[in-house]
Amino acid sequence: MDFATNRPTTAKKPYILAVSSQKGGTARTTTSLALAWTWGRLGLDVTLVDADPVGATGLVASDWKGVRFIDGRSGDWLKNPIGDLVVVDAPALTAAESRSILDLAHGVLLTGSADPLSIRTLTVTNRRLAQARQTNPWLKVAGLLITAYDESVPLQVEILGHLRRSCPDLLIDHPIPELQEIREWPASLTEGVPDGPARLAYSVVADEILRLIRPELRRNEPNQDVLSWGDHFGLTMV
Amino acid sequence: MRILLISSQKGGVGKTTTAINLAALAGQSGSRVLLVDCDPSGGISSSLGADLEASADILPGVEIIRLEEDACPEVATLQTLLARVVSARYSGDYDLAILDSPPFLGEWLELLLGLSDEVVLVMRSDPMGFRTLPAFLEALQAAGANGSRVKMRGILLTLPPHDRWADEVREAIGAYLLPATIPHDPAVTEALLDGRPVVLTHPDSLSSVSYRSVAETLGLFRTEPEPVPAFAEPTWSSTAGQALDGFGAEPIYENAGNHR
Repeated sequence: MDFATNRPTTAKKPYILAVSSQKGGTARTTTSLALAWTWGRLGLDVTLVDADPVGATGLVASDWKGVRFIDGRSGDWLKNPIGDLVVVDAPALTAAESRSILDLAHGVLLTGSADPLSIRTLTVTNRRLAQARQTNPWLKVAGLLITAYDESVPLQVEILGHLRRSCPDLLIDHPIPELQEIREWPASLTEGVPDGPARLAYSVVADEILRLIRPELRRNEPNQDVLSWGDHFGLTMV
Repeated sequence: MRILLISSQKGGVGKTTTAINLAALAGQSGSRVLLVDCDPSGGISSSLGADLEASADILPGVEIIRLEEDACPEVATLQTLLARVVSARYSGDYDLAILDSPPFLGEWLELLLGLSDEVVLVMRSDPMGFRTLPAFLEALQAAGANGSRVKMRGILLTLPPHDRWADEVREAIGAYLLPATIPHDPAVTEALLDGRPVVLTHPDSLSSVSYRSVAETLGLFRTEPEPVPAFAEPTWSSTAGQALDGFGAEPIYENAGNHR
């Protein structure tokens, strides 16, 4: 026990993941919710922080297994983050409120849609992250997640292909498909990520992100969702 | 000069596209338009994909100004930009300023609401858009309490692909919606790739027809000034400069279009 702070010294600091983007409407809130719910269900201790002034996370999150929900708009949570993982639904990177979050975060998960504007704003994103690293040199980019991906639109396929070629290390190459049930999640009364392809897609992404940021937290037992996702496409998961 | 704010509590709903297209329509009709990019990520320049100096070729009648380049600017940066809007108002060089707001609430929105005469809220027809609406309305209310004379002109509904919420939204808040709805239209993306507004590249597309209807509702098309009776009440009364706006130099837009 560290008597000065009255905190057990063995407690490991949580990994703070800010979910953010340059442009709005890129499913930041949905992704924060889905990751927190998925990780909580896997048995991890997750804190979900709503740091967006709009407060949309609070509209959906309820009493989820393993997830502690915090209204983080006051910024108080920054003083003492707890859990294995802290998922922050952060405001746009250009908003001043994002500063204190990026100062503390270990990683940023960028969300974006496969449209020309999203891609054009990546330049500004890059500048913004360089700026944030002046005060937090350890800040990493956990990856870029493409959301609302519609493979029936040729332009989106082209843009994803471009990203795969130009920034394979940045891209989390499991785009979240454009699905009605994801968009309707805030209006539905379902518990957690809507069952079906949405839940499967986010399971794969949650596992991939965990592998990148905290591999030791991955469970040894196979992730059922990931397995069934593989079955869905007739793939064999290793 | 009217100052029209295009705003939203949520991003990705079509704010910037709306601002650009309304500016293009007003400029095309002969108005002198100042298009103000208040978004630090520079949505307007990204959309037009061009240097602002070249904007006169892309948008006839429209001059674009934007924030000083900074990836995460202090609020003072916005104040500097808004000071330019205020001096434009008194210069008499413009008929209309359209402000494209950043995709976040807070101090920035307060400043923008404080300066604007009118605001149009762009909302995507989906549950997240609808359920976060109160956050914006609270900001609007707070602005009113702080002495802003901004008028809500209505909510502009934009549709995602395969929309199935528009009817429900209309039922719930129909009275606040502008009559036209912006459909999901691939022509908008095509125009974007071309770096030009859809109303100029595809004037017959569904979205262009809707944008023209919105511009008409808001009274953005230039018309000949109506004769003003000698003792007409000034449109604005609080300061001398605002009162001058009512004296015939410009169309009295209070009467224009479908005023709510």
